[in-house]
Amino acid sequence: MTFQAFIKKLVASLKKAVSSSAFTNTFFAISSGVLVGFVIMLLTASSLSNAVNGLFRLLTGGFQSPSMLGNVLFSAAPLILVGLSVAFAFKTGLFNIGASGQFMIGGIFALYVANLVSLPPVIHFIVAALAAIVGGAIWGFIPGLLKVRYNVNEVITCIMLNYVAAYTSVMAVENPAVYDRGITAISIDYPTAEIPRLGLNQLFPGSYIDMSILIAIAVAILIWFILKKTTLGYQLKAVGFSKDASKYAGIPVSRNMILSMMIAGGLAGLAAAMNYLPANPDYFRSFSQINPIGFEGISIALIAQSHPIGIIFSGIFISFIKKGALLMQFFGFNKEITSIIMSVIIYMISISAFVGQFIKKRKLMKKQKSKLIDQRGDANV
Amino acid sequence: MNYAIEMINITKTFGTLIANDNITFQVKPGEIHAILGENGAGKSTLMSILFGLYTADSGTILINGQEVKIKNPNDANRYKIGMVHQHFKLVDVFSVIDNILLGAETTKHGFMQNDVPRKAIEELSIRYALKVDLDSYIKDISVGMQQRVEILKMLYRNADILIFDEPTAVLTPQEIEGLFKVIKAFAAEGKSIIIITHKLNEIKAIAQRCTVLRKGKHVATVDVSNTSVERLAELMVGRDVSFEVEKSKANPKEVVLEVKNLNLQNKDRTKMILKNVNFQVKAGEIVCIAGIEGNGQTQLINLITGLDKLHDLNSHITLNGADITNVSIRKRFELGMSHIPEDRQKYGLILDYTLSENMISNTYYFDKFQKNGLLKFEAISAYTNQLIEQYDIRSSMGEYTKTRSMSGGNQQKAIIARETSREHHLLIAAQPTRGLDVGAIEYVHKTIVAQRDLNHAILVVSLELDEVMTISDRILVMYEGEIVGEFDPLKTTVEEIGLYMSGSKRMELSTDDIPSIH
Ligand SMILES: Nc1ncnc2c1ncn2[C@@H]1O[C@H](COP(=O)(O)OP(=O)(O)OP(=O)(O)O)[C@@H](O)[C@H]1O
Ligand SMILES: [Mg+2]
Repeated sequence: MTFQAFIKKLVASLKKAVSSSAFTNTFFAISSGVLVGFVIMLLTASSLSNAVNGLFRLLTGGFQSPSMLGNVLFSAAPLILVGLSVAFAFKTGLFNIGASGQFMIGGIFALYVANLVSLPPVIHFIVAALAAIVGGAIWGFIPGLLKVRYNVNEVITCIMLNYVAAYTSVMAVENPAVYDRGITAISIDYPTAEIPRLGLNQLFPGSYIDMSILIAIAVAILIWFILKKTTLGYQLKAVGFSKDASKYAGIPVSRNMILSMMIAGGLAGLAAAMNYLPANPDYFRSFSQINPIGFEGISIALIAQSHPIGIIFSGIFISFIKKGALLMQFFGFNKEITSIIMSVIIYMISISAFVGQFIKKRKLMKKQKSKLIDQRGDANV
Repeated sequence: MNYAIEMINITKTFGTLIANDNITFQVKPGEIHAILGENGAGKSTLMSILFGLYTADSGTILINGQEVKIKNPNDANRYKIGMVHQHFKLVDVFSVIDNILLGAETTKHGFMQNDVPRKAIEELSIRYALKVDLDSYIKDISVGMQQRVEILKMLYRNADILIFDEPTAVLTPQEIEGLFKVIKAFAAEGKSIIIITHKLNEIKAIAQRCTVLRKGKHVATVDVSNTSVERLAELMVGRDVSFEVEKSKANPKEVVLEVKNLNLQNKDRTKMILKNVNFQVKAGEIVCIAGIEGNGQTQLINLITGLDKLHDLNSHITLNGADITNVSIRKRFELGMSHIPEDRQKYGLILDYTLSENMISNTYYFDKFQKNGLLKFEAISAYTNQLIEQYDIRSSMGEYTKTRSMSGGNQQKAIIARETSREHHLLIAAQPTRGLDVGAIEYVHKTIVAQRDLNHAILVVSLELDEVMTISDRILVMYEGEIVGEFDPLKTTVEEIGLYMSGSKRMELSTDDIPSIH
């Protein structure tokens, strides 16, 4: 298949996805989330007009200016990658609740390489990003290994490893040689390791955007391809569906489960590289707190029903809502309220994504039935 | 005439497939009514409609002359309909009593009150001689007992109409006898019984009338007493069925599988499950292991195929001369082993994969189906369609059908197709015809014999003595983990083998020199 044909096929499948009922369901899920968010605004706002203004900000903030839009895409990159991390493990029947920990360890690896190694530009970035992948993969490997060796539930190991990662990052990052910029990072210590911007900042002037969003999209397509077209995807999904039947068929079950967790961890690690290596990086929350991004990743995967291509959109959407919530602060909503509203929206979306899937199934059954009755009716005439 | 159940002009479709096509079906009170039909004929579907698992697209259901709507199993319970499913629906990690009470719990202030129901269940269990251990977990008890749990579950809900979907497929002959006694007792009390089975002599033994379905359509309802087994088979398949398999004399060649001093202890090391098992299977012969269920056959097969690990250091298994005692399952396959597993839903199929995905589950990494890690979808689909054609695997959407939605018999055919079409030198088949209709059984037996004539070595485990007698070239009888006898099917009788199976007789087989009858 030529590259062009591939792109064509991709566009066609995107079109199909947009016109599908899954898409409408997601749309309703999102609207119901926003609606509940609005109710909370009404409860907390000083006046009705204030609440309406807040809602308006929330929904349009991300489009307000090219720089805003650029920033939405910019912060979507790590979110997409974390969403992919959760979805990938899920396809193998594993629940990766440890993306936060993998993200933090990946971040430490990236920062160490960025600050302590000197390499020419671009290459430095690539090496730092690869290091982040390795870090995340190690953190994914541990729960995978414990699961297959000692049958320890990966959820428990992942949660505990999140804490280990949080405390490790305190130790590792508060090392002046590595990262001594406190919590407001504006200066750049490692210009050679920066993510290339490919002129995207000219497209979205005034924004932080760099090629991380392109990397995230490319990785999403790659993951889709792996799951759909390769023997690796075939065996990972087989293990996810039935361990016994996979074992019978000679598919190495343990190896695939570990591999799946390592890939999931690697994706979370890469997300950290996208988060900490830009010219204007996110500051490293090293104060022994678990980075909540792993949990956002769960929502993102859920909204997209673990479909890698869908995750590109759900990731961008969550980033968009987060930016809008930030802007609401200018309208008298304080930071805590905006985080509550944002979390409520995310939760509502996740819940309705569940409900939506259920409705979709029922609709499909009904449709099939009526179609058949039609056909049979025709035959009778 | 008033009927206990009337299903009138029932139609049910799945996608483009018409599983039930305008079927009318009536059962009298106190009657035992059999349903017969090929795999995928729509038997389970029809009964699932009566039990409220599916709703019919059109048609009416009358219970005792009253028209009713049965939308879910709770409705069915209300109309006193109970069903024992083809694949049991019990919660593995719950105890027997919890499974029986599930959904019909007696509570007081929100707490379970198990004393009263326990008494009631114990009484039922004594009255109908349905022996169960109320406090064991489902995962620890035999399939026979699981079935008794299912029956008690129905009785506890006061069912008057009892549906059994292939109840005998998983039972030993003794258990079948017990089950039939119970069923007859139910009928004597005026309960109506519907029983789906593929075994024609069982229909003769127990049913008064029999309804035959073919490809979703009602073919006939006949009085069993004046219809011969041959006639039943013909009605069902639409052609003559031969119960005998034509086969020439075996011509065994080199040893393919050799099992030496196989010993296995149970988990807590208190009992020997396999004791010093020794035998060989040669190219070009069919060896059958006969025995009553639970005498170590499952464990033996699991060790040979690698599903279980072998810990005993003196035990050895060789395949084509290579020691496979501790090699991986994939390696065993590559060395020439094929395996039709006993439990088709647990091991045989990845139920959420499509038929074509299942057809390559142990060969997907071969050059034939992949290149540089990319699956060759065209090759896979061509291969699948060829097997669907050749083995007559019926399903609603062909290669795209999720195997979970296929009928039990067609699932089995799919596995047989996969395992016999793959390159191999040894075929291990555990209960290969369980749940198959007579036409399909005939086909499988022919396939197995054809495999032999291709010079493959074949090892079959079967609980059905008839099957053992028809297809084997050599019979090994297992009793309590030991091989207690070896026979030539032409020189023995079912009765003689029965004596060895029940442990009343045994041969002394020397362990290092295995006698063979040629
Ligand atoms: N849920 C479902 N979705 C799609 N197709 C189905 C579903 N259930 C059954 N079918 C199809 O309907 C047909 C009838 O299936 P059914 O299970 O009733 O057969 P059966 O007579 O019980 O066969 P068997 O003897 O093999 O158990 C089959 O072709 C099967 O593939
Ligand atoms: Mg059936």
